[in-house]
Amino acid sequence: MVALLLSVGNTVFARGVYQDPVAFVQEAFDGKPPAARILWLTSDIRPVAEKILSHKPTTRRVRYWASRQRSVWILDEIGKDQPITVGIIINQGKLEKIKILVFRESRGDEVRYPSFTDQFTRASLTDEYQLDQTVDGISGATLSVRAVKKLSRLALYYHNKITVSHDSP
Amino acid sequence: MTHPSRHKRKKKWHSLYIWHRYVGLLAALLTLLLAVTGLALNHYTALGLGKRHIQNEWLLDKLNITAPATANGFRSHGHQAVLLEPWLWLDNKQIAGEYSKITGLVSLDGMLILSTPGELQILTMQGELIDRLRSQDGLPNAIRRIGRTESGRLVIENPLGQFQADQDILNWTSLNVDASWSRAFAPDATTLIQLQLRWRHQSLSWGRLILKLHSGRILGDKGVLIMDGAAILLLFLSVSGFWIWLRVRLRKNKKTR
Repeated sequence: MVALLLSVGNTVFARGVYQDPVAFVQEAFDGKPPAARILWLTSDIRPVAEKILSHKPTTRRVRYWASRQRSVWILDEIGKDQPITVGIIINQGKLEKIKILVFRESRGDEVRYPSFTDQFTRASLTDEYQLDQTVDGISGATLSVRAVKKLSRLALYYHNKITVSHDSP
Repeated sequence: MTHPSRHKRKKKWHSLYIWHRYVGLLAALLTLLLAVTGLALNHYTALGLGKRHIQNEWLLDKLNITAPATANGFRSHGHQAVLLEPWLWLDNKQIAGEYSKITGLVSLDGMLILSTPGELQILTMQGELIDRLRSQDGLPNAIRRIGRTESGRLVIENPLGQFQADQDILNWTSLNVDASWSRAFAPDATTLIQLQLRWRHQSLSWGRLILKLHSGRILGDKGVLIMDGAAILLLFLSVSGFWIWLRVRLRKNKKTR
């Protein structure tokens, strides 16, 4: 009975909004975010995005916020059944911060802990669109880990495709 | 001549045999159903049971699968979005997701903007998703209606007032403008019948039907009671079977001694 209660409890507690995406963008730019911009997934970008995600991107454009060499991306990817919303900050082609903002799956929320997300810090993209540093998985959260890894690679790729403006925030 | 108590015991023993046999026969049918449906459910994904839907009209009628009688929709520049709850079709293409209400359809710069109270979908004219905007993207909430200004900008109205989008439909400015608002329409009978048919054909997956059969819920509360009865019969069979086996074994042991 205790095991059953614990497993139900885990399922309930796994889901949650850990930070509002708007608040994440605000925080990334010290409360003064630049206006959102659009990256159109043109015919040269789409195939690479598809390769990284292992499926077609769900939308044809992606919003981002950028200032100087930093860009912020709010991206979604399905872990097992539900999309996981992840906030990603890229600075000069390297991952500065990755944070799970909304977790909707019933399990696998261990990916939200800094012990996992900190592994991405300073990672960049290789020519084969892979991360240039190893990220250890979490047993029992394989699909969530896979989704977060894909999004980090995708954000790095998108960052490389945009021309970051040098406007002050 | 046999001892009366021994005779009584033998008679009792014989009746257990008979009970075991008939309960076994009765339970066999339900066990077969449980085993076959259980096997299918164990391989739910591999068999694609969640993705394959029942198309047989007779079966759908028997299972009381009835599409909503009314639909509402919006039209814009030769395109129409029709909601037959919970599914939404843009022309002939189904839009992914489930919906309870749509609030407008506007054509803008070669794109279609479809709104629900909490979301805007920007679509190609063929119904492919370009972008999806929600309150987390800065979209004003509780959209009542959408329209376009003479200059070709998107406008939305919610309980707080009217908001005009920028060219990229990313940022919103609160202001009152003259706009041509998207108006609801009731689809004609032919469209409604076609959509009702499609609605029925995607309403019940084989997976759900098998699950209903497995739990007995296909017959409602009575079905659940029948399956409970089957479980009790199986319990009886296992106990009576064990008892019969044990008795035979004890007897054999006695004889060999």
